[in-house]
Amino acid sequence: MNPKMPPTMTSSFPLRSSRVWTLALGLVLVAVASLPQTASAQCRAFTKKNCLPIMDGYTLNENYNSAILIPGDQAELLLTFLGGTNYRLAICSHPVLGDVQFEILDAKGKTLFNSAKAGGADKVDFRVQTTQQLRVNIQVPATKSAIQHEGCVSILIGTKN
Amino acid sequence: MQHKPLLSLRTLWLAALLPVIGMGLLTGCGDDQPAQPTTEAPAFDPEGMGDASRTNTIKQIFYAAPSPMETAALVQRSGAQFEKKHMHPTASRTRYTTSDRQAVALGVYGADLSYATIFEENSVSLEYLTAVKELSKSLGISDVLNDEVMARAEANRGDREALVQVVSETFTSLNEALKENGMEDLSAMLVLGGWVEGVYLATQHVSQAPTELKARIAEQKLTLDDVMRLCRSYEPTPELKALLASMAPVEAAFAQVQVTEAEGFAEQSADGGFVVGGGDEITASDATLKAITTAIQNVRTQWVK
Repeated sequence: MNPKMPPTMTSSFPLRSSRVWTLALGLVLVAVASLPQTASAQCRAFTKKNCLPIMDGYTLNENYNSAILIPGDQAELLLTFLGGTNYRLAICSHPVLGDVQFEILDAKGKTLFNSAKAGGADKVDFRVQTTQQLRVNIQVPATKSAIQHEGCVSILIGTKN
Repeated sequence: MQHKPLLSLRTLWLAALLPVIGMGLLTGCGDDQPAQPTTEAPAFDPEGMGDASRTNTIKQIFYAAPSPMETAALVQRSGAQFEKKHMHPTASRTRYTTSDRQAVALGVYGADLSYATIFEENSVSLEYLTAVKELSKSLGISDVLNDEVMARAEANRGDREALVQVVSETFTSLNEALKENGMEDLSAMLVLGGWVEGVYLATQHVSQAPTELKARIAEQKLTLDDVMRLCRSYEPTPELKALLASMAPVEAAFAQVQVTEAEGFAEQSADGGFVVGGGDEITASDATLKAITTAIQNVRTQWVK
């Protein structure tokens, strides 16, 4: 040990080394953690550019949802729809995912609307007479393709007075 | 004796920076920059697709809640009249100095703004839009309510539908900005503040349209369920936890609302859509309504002054 070195400095390199490792680990974690957020931000950009025009004439619910899904994925939303209100519900997805289907069910699980039976519709307009919670189920079709893609799926809900 | 490092500092720095540089390369191509050709598969392109990053399928659960604009529309349809005295004064906006309080206040002002806009009180709407602009600036998301948006609102001050769109787009963008900046907990607080203010305003108009508004307030039992699920889906920061805990009396009051199961129905409408009716009957006694009114008033007083 260098006798001129003060006691507090004897372990200066190990201390600096551990700080660097901590910093390195921190930066790696930040980079990894930002991956889904980046994809999520791109999904929002996709929604703004491709989906919002579908809601023309309707006031968009401020908390719209979007996610990156792959073939075979499902998504679900449970939401209260207020009586006396006209709604438009749209499912907007990247074409790479194929014909994404959706259905609307009441609180007891009765199907009120099925997009497959409506010619593969990507949106539906409806009026709710009495306030109730409805469930929206979304299904991304499975594929047997060896190369699988992922794409954005957004669910948009708008109201009209 | 001098310690010899196993790896040089330069190597460590490089190891640390590599993922960050990699992320920069992956995400650096925004909408306004052309994508560079590459021999490797893109992770996720700006058009909303990419090669699958996983193979196992999932069930994604989405969360949402009715917007304050919808609640304000319920009050207006009941026949109640606009009363500015029930709104949270815009002068109070400077009292909120922490980000959690600012987010809650932003939600409260958002609901007030929706209320004024739905009732076509356009000068009041612009006053509240300014308050929202200043609070969003304090939260570091001032880009949303830029001069262009404010000018659009001013130019459309006589057009209710245009103002409704401005307000809706503003709050959609504010929510997005908070999420994109990693402040999802604040986004939850904004939603919660908006819900409480929306229901508070409804309770303050009961005397003007008792039958209609009592029924509509009782139905907020379902929207409370939506809002709490949405807020609990976010990372529970201490501030969000505390805020959700303060909702316990409101949840207890709404737990007294009676839900009688009944069959619902859906009928095809002429325009290709459908009409949903029937369903569970939701009612609240006068005592329950009083408990809800008190609980909402108390939680609002805790949050905004």
